[in-house]
Amino acid sequence: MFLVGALVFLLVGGAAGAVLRTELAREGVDLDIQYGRLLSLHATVATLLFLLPAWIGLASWLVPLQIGASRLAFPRLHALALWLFLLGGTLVVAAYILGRPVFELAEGLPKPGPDQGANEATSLAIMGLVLVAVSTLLAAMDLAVTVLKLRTTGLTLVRLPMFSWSVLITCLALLLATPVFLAGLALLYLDRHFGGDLFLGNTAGNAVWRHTLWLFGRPEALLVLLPGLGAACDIVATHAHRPLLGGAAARQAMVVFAAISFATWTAGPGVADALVLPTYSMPTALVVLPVAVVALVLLGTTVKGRPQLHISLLFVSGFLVLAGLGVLNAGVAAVVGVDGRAWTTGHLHIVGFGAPTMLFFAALYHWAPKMTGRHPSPKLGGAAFLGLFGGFALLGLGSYLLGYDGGPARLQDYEFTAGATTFNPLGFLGALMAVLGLAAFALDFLRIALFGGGEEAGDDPYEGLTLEWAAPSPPPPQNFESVPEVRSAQPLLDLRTPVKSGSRG
Amino acid sequence: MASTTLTSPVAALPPAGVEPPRNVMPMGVLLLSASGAMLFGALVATYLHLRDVTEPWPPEGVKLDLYLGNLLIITMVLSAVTVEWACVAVRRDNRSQASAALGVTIGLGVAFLNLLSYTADQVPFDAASHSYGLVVTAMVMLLGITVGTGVAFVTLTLLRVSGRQLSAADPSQVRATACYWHFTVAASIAVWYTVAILK
Repeated sequence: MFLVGALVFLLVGGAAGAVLRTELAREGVDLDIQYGRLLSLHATVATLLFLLPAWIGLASWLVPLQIGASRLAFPRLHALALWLFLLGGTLVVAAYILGRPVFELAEGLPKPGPDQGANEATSLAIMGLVLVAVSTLLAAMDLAVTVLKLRTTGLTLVRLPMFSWSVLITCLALLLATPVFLAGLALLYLDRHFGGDLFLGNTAGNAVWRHTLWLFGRPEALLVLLPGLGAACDIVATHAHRPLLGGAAARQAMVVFAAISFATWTAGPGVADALVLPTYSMPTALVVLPVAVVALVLLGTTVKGRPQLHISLLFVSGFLVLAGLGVLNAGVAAVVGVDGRAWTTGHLHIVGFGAPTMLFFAALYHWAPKMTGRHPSPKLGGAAFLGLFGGFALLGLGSYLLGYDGGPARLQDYEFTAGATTFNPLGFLGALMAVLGLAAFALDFLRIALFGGGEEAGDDPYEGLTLEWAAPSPPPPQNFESVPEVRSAQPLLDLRTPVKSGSRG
Repeated sequence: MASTTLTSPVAALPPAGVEPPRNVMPMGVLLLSASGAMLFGALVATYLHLRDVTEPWPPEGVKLDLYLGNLLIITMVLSAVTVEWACVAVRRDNRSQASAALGVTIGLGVAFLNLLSYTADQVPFDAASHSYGLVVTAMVMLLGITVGTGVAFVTLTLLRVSGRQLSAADPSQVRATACYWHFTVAASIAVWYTVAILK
C-alpha cells in the first residue's frame, strides 16, 4: 500500500511536471496556470511523497523476506504509518489545490504569500508534512528494529543482504534527520498560526528555517539513493550468480554515504538558498566517492559473473549512465560556474531524481516475480526502461544545455533566445518519454495484477542467493513455511554448491 | 564452479531452532528516543541561536517563575524513580507493586502536565509576541505532547500488568515504558535547563 500510494503521488507530481514542461516548450504557449504553485507542488511531491515512501513500501515487504522473518516488528504501527502517509500526502496535495503555501521545500525561505496572515493552504501543507514526517519516523523505526531484532538464526549484520543493510542505514539516518524538520515545521506553524513574523523577513528566523530544512533535506535528498544502491548490489549479485566482488567495501561505502549526507549540511545556508539544489561544496562533492565504490563493485561483479540480460540490469546500467552524466556535468559546472541557472534543474532531474528512480524501477522489476509470482513482460519492461531512461536523460540534458547557455532557473516564460528555443523542447520531449515509460510500466503491472498475465515465475526464478528466493512466490502471510537457518551471506548459493568438508562458514 | 539446481531450496535448508525472545519494544523505544533527542536538540539549538542574535534576551518584561519550573522538574525526577520501581516489581513478579508504581507515575505525569499548562498560562507572552515567545511556546507544546504520550504509554502498560499480560517472563514492555519515560524526563530537564538556567 505504501508502494501504491507513492506511485499515485508520482502520477500527481509527474502530471504537474508534464504541464510545466508543456508551458515551457514553445514561445507563446500560455496554459493559464499558476506556474509557481504547480512548480512548488511538483517539487514537494517529488522530494517527499514519492521516492522515500516508495522505498519504505518495498522494504516493508522485502526486508522480512530477506532476513527470514515472518513479519515486521510492529505491524500495527506500520499500518498507522501508512495511513498517516496517505492522509498527510493528500493534505499536502489538497493544500496546493486551495492555494500556494508561503513556504516551498525546494527553495529555502518562507516567502510572503498573497495573504500575510495564516492561510488555509499553508496550515494544511504544514499539517500534511507533519503527518508525512511522523509516518516516516514510525516506518523507519519499525524497519530498523525488524532488521536489528528479527533476523533469523545465523544471519549476522555482516551477512545481511545488501538491500536490507542499506535500508537499516537509511532508517537510522532518517530517525536522526526527520525530527529536525518536525521542529522547523512546529516553529513555522506556531509563527503562522499566531500571526508572528519570525519567518517572514526576519534574518534570525530565516537562518533557523534554513538550518532545520538543510539538516533534514540534505540527508533526505541523498538518502533516497541509498536503498537503491543496496538493491543494485543484490540485483547484480543475483544475476551474476556469485557473491559481490568487494561486498564489504560496498557495505562500508553505504555507511560513509549516510555520514556524508549529514555532512552536506555544512555546505550550509551561505552557499545557496535552496534545500536540494546542487551546490559545489566539498561535502557535497565527497558523496561521489562512496557511490563510485559501489559502482566499481557492481561493475566488477558483472565482469566476473557475466550475468544474463534482465530488465532490472538495464535499469541499473541506466542509473550508472545517469550518475556518470551528473558527475561529468558537475565537474564542468564547477569550472564554468552555473549557480542559479537552469543547469540546476537539469542536475536535479538527472542526479537527484532520475538516477535513484532508475534504481527503484530496477528493484521493482527484479523482485516482481517474487511479489506477484509472474514474470513482467520483457517488451513492456524494455519500453518502460527506454521511456524513463531517455526521458530523464533528455529532461536533464535540455536544462543542462540551457544552463550553459545562460538560461536562468525557475522562470515561467523564458525570453525565447536561440538556446531556449532549442533546449526547452528537448525537455518537453523528455517529459513525454518519461510519461510513456511510466505508462508501459503501469500497463505491464496492471496486466499481471488484474488479469494474471505474464509467465509463471516459480519460487526461485533466478537461482537467487538470499533468503527471499526460498519463500513461495508470492509469499504467504507468514512468509516462510519454516524459518530457515543461515550459515553465510549466500545461504541458497551454499546449498547449490558442493561443500568441501569444513569449508562452510 | 559446479552447481546443482534446486527446485525447492527451502526444503533443503536446515530447519531453524525455536525463535529466541526478541525484545523488540525496548529497541523501538530507544530509536524513537534518539529521534526525540534530535527534536528537542533542534529546538534548544534554535533557542540558543536566537539568544545570540537577539537583544535583549529574554525580551523586556519577561520574567519566569523559577519556583514553578523547579516544581515541574522535581515532579518529573520523582516519576523517573517510580517508573524504575515498576520495572523492579515486574522483574520480581510483584504485580500489585508494579501496578502501584505505574499508577503513581501516571499521577505524577498528569500533575506535570497540569502544572505545565498552568505555567504556560502565567507567562506574559505567547508565540506571536517575539521570537523568544515562539521558541519557548514550541518547546513547551512539544514537551507537553511528549509527556502526554508517555502518560498514555504508561497507562497502557498498567492495564496490561493489571490484566496479567506482563510478568517476569516477559518484562520488555515495562522496560520499554521506563525507557520512554526516562527520555521524557531528560527532555524536561533539557528544556528547563535551557529556559530557566541558561536563559
